[in-house]
Amino acid sequence: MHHALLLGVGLTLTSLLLFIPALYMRALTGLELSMDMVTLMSLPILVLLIGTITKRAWLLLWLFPCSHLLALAVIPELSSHRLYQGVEGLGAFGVLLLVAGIYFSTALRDTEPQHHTFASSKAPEEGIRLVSMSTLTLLLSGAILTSFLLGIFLEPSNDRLSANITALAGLLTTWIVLGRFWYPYFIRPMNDLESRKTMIQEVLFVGRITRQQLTFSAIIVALTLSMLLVFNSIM
Amino acid sequence: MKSAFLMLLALALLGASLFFFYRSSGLLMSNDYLAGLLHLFVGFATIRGGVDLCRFAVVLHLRSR
Repeated sequence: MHHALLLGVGLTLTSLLLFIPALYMRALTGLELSMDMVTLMSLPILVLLIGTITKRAWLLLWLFPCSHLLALAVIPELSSHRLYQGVEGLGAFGVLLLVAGIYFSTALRDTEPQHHTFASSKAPEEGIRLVSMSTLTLLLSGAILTSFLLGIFLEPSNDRLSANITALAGLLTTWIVLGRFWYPYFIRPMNDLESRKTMIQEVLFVGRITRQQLTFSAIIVALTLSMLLVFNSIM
Repeated sequence: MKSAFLMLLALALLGASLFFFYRSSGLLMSNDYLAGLLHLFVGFATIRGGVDLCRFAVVLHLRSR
């Protein structure tokens, strides 16, 4: 059942990323696909099949998404700005991101026993916590990327270089936030007992947090948010 | 109660950082690279604060059990 789900979501992702754009561009610009191009477009399906059978994490989480890049690089029309322009384009891109998110979530669950063998050796609540942490991480990374993509799509500029720089900045920001802040300071202590003990020692003073300190934190956050409101009304 | 309040503050800071990232991408798109970079740094600082508040909330929650 789970294999079928993974295959279904993976095939939907490949269709949305390669085959449907190819059909659309064929109707729009008369794009002719050679045999080589069709082979390159079919490569992700082969990788997905092998990944589903072997359950290798690197195949499902790295090679399958990356195998789309070959076709996208050889056939630039598949990532043309004409595909994703306007409100309909934004909607299509949103659906693509949603399906990609579902695929990664499914693939992570499928490869979990290989990735996190400690989850099965601990209490069931640890496993649940691990899944909820993965979901939180996915949500955070999705929110950061979306905030960058909104800027790209809503800004009237058509400069492709700026769009590429902004997209790269978004990816880099997501990596930095997840790798530098989110994982070492929050996720690792939640899933590893030793790290959790260290974290509790590090922030032990919080146990004696006074009402005054709490009020001060609230004031700082309220000031930041009100500055944002003022800033937004000025810009 | 205290941990829930801290978690709420952390979420507010995480939301604020997303706003800074959004502004940063808008500035980068309009070729205002320095301002975009500065907004990015402010976003990083805000999200770091949010993650720290998350840690505090979790530790408080764990100690209260």
